[in-house]
Amino acid sequence: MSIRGSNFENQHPFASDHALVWERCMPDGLLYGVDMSFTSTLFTLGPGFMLVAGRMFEITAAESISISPGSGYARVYVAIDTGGAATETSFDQVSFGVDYAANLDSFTELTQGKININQGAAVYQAEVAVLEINSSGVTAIERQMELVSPGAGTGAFAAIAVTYPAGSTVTVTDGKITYTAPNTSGGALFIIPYAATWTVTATDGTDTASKAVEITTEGQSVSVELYYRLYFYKEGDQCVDVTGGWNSNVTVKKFGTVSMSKITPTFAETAMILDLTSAGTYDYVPVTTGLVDLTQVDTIYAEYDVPVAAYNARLLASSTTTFATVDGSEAATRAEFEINAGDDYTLMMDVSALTGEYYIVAFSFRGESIDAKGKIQINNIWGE
Amino acid sequence: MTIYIDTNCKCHVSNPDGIYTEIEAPEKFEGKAPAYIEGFRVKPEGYTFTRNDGKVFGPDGYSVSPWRDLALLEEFQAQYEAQLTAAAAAYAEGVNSI
Repeated sequence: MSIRGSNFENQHPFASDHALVWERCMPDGLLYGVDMSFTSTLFTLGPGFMLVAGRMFEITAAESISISPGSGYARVYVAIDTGGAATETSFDQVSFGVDYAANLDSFTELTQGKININQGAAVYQAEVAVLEINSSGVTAIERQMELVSPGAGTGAFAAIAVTYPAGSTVTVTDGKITYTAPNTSGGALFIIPYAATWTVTATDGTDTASKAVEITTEGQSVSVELYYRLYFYKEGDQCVDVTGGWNSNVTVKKFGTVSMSKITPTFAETAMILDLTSAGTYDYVPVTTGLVDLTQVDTIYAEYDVPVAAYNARLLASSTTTFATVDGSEAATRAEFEINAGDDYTLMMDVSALTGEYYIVAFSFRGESIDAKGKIQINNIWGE
Repeated sequence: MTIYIDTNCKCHVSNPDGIYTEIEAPEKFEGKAPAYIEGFRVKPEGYTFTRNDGKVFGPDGYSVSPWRDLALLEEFQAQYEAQLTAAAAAYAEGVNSI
């Protein structure tokens, strides 16, 4: 028989069975008491009850942890090691530790093993507090574990549904609790236990995509889509696999009533260069050779340097490469800047309502009637 | 041609309550159906908008971009043009029958 009863008559329940239920329903936190205080060299946890990974334990007398002086932050954590001694007369499965980091976001990841599965030995660590320290010792409590609130106890305060590139690892964290998707299928649903700002991150080991989600209301349901940067041009790389390369096979017929003359941009080693310093009415229209599928792209970014002040930099997503005027009305969407010398610009274009394939056109022009004696350098164009 | 934008840069072809901001329409909207135009955002320099997913498009620059599915907007436009053609044909037929 491959079924083991847990809370059934005459069956033996393990502590981990009980803890598993609590772990699924309650976040790590304080149940009662555990007042936190500090001196320059000691961090003290007062008596009280804590719940960590579904395991409940009592601090029966104040517990003090030594903190070394330094520069940055000290993190006090609780560690549950189910491989430690636990008999009628001794208990050695819960301890406190401390580690250090220069910045709040540079602590190493805590170990969070599955201590409630299969009654096996594993370690689970949870942050209790982060302390600010200097050469004299502790100066402040930066953040600390909170009381488990009734609202959090439902385990289903809100939900975040995430779609992400298959094969990636996805996590959701508020800095205190981190949930990891159970697989890398491309879709995950996270049950969020309480209101906070939660950061959803996907990584495949090379690329990373991240979004912050504000959870404020019980019952809130949020959908998040994560995509890695899809480069269309990257510092001299024309990203041929995606774009088919870049060329200037675009026709722009008029600037006002004056016909345009097309000039081929210079595809330099690290950038496209659009030199608008010569007199005349002309345009540069670097365009992707192939149509680019924008179905999974919400925003296109183009990163410019401007060595010499220019009139404008314009970005289009278009199903055609022939435009009646410099207005580019035939394009599905358009974004542009007027740009000044010496500045770096990142142009953002909303393409979230577009599905299917489009040419990407990075367009700039000069007319005799406007002061456009500029020079534009495009370093990167990518979609997210 | 004049259109109006709301505080999130969504376009409107009328301004009955006077709460929208009047702007010059881009060339792109010439001859377009109201439903097509109202599926777009026009963001003038100095304005910002926040997309449904929370992405903020800042004050720098000018943009014209659909916020409704572009394929749907093009379908609205196609139907609008078909109705105009049908109305013109009916009018011509009426005139010819006089």
